Amino acid sequence: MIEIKNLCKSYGDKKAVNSISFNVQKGEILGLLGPNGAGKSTTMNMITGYISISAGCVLVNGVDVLENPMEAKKMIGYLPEQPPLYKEMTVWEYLSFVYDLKKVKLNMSKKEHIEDVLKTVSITDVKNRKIKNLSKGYKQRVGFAQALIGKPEILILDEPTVGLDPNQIMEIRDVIRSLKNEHTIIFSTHILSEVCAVCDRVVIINEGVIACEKAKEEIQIEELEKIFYTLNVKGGSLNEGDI
Amino acid sequence: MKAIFKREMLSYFTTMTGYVFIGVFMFLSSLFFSMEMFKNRVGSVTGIMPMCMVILMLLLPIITMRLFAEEKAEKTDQLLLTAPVKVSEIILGKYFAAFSVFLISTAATLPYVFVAAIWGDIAIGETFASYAGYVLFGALLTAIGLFISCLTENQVVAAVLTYGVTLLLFFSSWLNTGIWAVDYIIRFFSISEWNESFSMGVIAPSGVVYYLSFTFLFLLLSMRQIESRRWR
Repeated sequence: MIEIKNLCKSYGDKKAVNSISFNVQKGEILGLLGPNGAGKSTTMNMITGYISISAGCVLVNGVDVLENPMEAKKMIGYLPEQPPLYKEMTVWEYLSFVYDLKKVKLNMSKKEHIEDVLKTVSITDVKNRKIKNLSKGYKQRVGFAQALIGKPEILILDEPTVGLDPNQIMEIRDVIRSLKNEHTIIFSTHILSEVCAVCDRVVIINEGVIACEKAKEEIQIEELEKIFYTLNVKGGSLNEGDI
Repeated sequence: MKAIFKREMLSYFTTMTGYVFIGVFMFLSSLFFSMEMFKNRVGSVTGIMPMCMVILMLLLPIITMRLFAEEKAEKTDQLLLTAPVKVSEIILGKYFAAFSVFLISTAATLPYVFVAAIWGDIAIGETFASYAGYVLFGALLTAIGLFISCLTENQVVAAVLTYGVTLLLFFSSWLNTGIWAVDYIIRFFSISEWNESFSMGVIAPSGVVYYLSFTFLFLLLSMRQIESRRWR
């Protein structure tokens, strides 16, 4: 479904992403795990066509995102790290705008589709409220709803649970799991347990390179923790006196 | 393009921006019109056009500064640039929305024409030409404002830069270096100089071409700017 080959992104001399390759199968939930600044968001921004690719390529259903961005973008729903919300609009106005923006063509009416999406992320009760007046959890869900508009085959979710309370985190995870049958999902996080709870496969990124790639069955928390914590302290050492 | 146009219009009129722009413009222009009418005893609207242009230069950045700067600051550009729409559609949608707000403010001055027609003596051709010049002038200012808004994510910076550029281009015809060639070039780029023939009732093709081509140039630069940002 998604093939990523030797993907690179450089900012001047600094390589934010350095030759990353992985594939995502249809109907799979892939977790991108890594500490902050590891290159997760950069990778996602490249897949969605928000930023350019320095080297390598991304194929979405066989379509190259650089050669045919319009076709590729039609297949992708993207929830960036900070949900792209127009705060002066109501939830309904906003989703209606996103529907028109994505030039959605479905065999149901616009109203039915938006109602459907609102139900999926449980925000029907706030549909007529202005986005600026919503709580963070609701804003995040409106952002999620935006990604679901047009029923894209692929969902790319950048840290969808950040800043939510434990209940909301559970809800969002349930939503992600429920979407698995209809969508292929790439989802990034820096929380280890989340990957185990939601994903089929995990790719761990650190400092722009892949540190480890495993299927869910192979995931062993202790082993991951070892890698993860090693990653976090790498690049500096502490003396006794510093503590 | 339609979706973006609709959203921008909604944004102008759900926030105060659109109302403030149109309201303040109407207040100031009506003030100058009544002065012209009652104090100077001139029953035409062509006389207040240069003043309207100055007012427009001071007010238009209010509606153009947010066009892209706000998107970048709020990171909503991620939605636009990852949706299956071309950059040209985004730019044109935004441009026409801002231009429409300007046209509404222009339409709000039409009652002055009726008032002048009833109590004064207006020349239809001259009025029409000066309005044409004014609309072309506004079209160019909107494009300049949009382009500058693409350069920064700070709305205040966008507004101040737009003031700088438009005021320079407007008053540059007053600059006198004494060197013929330099003055000629400066005058060529002056946005007020090209409007003079319109205010005299002549729709000069060269003026129309000047305004339209520079408007087009700034729209093109805006598209390039947005596209090039992705490559950095």
